[in-house]
Amino acid sequence: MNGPNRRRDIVRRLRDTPAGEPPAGLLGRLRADVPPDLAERLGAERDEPAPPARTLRWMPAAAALVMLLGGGFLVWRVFDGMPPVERARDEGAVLREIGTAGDEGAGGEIVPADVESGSEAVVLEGGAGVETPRLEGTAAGRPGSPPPEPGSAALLPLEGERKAPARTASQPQVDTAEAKIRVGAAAEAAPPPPVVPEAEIRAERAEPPPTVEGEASPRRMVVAAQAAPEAKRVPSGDPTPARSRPSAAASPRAQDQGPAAGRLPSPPAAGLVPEPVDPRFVETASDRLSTFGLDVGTGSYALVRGLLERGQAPPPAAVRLEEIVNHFDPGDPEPPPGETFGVVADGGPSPFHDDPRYRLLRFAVRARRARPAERAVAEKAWAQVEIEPRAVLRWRLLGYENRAIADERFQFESEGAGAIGPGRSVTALYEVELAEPAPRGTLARLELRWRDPTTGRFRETERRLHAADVAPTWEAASPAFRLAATAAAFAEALRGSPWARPGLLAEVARRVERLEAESDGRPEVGELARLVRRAEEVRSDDPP
Amino acid sequence: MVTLQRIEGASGGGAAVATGSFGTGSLGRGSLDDERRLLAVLRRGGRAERGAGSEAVRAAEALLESTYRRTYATLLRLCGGDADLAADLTQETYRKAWSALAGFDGRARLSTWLFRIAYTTFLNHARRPRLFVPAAAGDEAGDEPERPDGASAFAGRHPAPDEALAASQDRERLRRAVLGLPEELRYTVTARFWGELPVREIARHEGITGAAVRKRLRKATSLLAAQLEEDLR
Repeated sequence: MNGPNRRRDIVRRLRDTPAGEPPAGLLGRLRADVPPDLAERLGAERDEPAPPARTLRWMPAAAALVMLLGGGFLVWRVFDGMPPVERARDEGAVLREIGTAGDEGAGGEIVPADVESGSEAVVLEGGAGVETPRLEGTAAGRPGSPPPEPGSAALLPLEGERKAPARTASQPQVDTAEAKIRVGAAAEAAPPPPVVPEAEIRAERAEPPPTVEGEASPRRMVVAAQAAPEAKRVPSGDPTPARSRPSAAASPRAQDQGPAAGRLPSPPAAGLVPEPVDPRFVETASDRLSTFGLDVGTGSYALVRGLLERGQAPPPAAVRLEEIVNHFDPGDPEPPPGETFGVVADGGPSPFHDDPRYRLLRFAVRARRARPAERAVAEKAWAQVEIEPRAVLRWRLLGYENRAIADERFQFESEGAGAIGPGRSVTALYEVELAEPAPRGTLARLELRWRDPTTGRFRETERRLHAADVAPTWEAASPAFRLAATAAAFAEALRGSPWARPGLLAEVARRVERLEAESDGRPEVGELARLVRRAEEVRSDDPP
Repeated sequence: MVTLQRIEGASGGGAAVATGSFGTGSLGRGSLDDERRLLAVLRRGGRAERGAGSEAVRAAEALLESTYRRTYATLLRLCGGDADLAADLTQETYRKAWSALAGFDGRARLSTWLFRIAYTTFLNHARRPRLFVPAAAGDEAGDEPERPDGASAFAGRHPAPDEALAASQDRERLRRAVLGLPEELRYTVTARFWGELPVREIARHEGITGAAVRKRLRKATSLLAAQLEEDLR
């Protein structure tokens, strides 16, 4: 083939690249993304779009003006001795990108990218857990956590964070990347620093000599887990924007770094205690979409059970809430005949807040039990939950820290899909703060997409969760909801979540006993009850 | 609301195009006026009101309806037929578009501007690890348009499996070669053939002449031809 002919062939092939029709439901997804305040964002000065020619004519003048102002600003910044804004912003962007947030307390320092050795340090510290409060506020990038403050640090969990979504469901721990992720989880679980009473911080610092740090001591972890609820004395339901959370945190390694580390966390100065804000609550107005993977394992449950049965407190980082919740078959009905998936949605009071505005919503996706002929029910499935901004002020997805696909980074990666085993159920719980007055309509909806293995085509289903689906009281809630909520509360208590208020474990113990009594001797409910009792014993064994 | 009805009419045209060749519909006709009107509504509308029912949001939805098929088709080609990925990138594209709409300067058409966002979104995705993993065999199903009348409509016309495989391998080679072009050429080729933008629009957006765009296309196709021959050797 000569030159022009070859080129023509290429052009033909380029033009012939097939395109298909958008999947059903795409338009709906796109519509849901249109910001309600679009007009406001566009701003008043942009009323009349200028015709292109005029834009061009004014461009040089505008550019000159911008440069003049920009230059002036730069000069001012330089002479003012301030750190360059751009750098801070860039770092912020990088941290957002890798999903790692720190705080200003770290002084903008960036941990050297010595990932290997770094990772070990982190693992050890993670193991030693919350024994010193240095992990606090590290808010290691979980989707949904607010963008970091400018100049923030804590690059360490990068490797692990990136690997997170690729990992398979359930190996409980060990490999370094994973351990790092878990440290992230532990860091989140720790309470915001400034509300821990000063005396406690001192005690925690003083007690174990620094040389012991490397050792994972379950006992100290329990101390920490119990310290967490202390933090919750300050009202937690406050919808303060997450952005304003206290600045006093560190890279997990900060403690290795001498004087800088000594500042962390700064003991609360009298009268300057910032509001404790859990970064894991997301303002619905700024983000109403949540995605979670369906390939949940239950390895963490087995690990937790093993440790508790040996009388050891599981390290908070090893407690994966979603794996513990999903260990239990909710016993929801099978999908109707001919349907691949069934989705159940209900709700009830939140075990984490004694406040009727806070509710727990449950979505459970159940795959049909496959007949022998059709092995895989679904190759891949995606679940996305859209929270209704008019009904819900804030929300948080419980667990799924490493598997939450959505949001900034993994929103559109097809790897985010998960396979859900035949006959299995996957439950996701959302704690929401409802708007006032109490909303009546839809609170949230779950959209499920999957590829039908026989036809290879995409299918979708949607389930709306209405206010009426949410039980007003614990007793009125469905048994499946109560079991899931109890397991979740157990996990939060075990991992020392800031939402594990004082007495939560005792409450879990009471609730699980009732569940056991109602469950007609379901062995796994009995086992849960036993484990909760073990956890209480392990905890009370601990020195105060 | 006359404006919106007109736009929705245009989107109807888009729907007709959807099952056949993509995008020739919405760009050709007087859609520039529609775009301008839409933008005017978007910029004027809803300052007093906000929320799902506001005029601006309705205008945005109309804009969506008239453009999303094309955006999706472009991304599907860029993604090598991975329908899920294309859908997700489409979603990402519009999210970016809404936040960037205030910066739309009206120099090029909105469709060109949207193409640019989609293209950048794809490249950002491509820079992540794992993109260039070849599409799994199961993903080939995504190449095929989903039709309301079901896949059986194509049943008799399916090429033999090995033929289909060879064709899809050819396509994948071509796609990689395109993505491996220098940025300027890559953008131009993608915009022209996968975004189906007219040469004049590309020129306007790039701030170059139409002749320069054609020159780029010639250069790019020569490079692609050479690259593919190299691959086969």
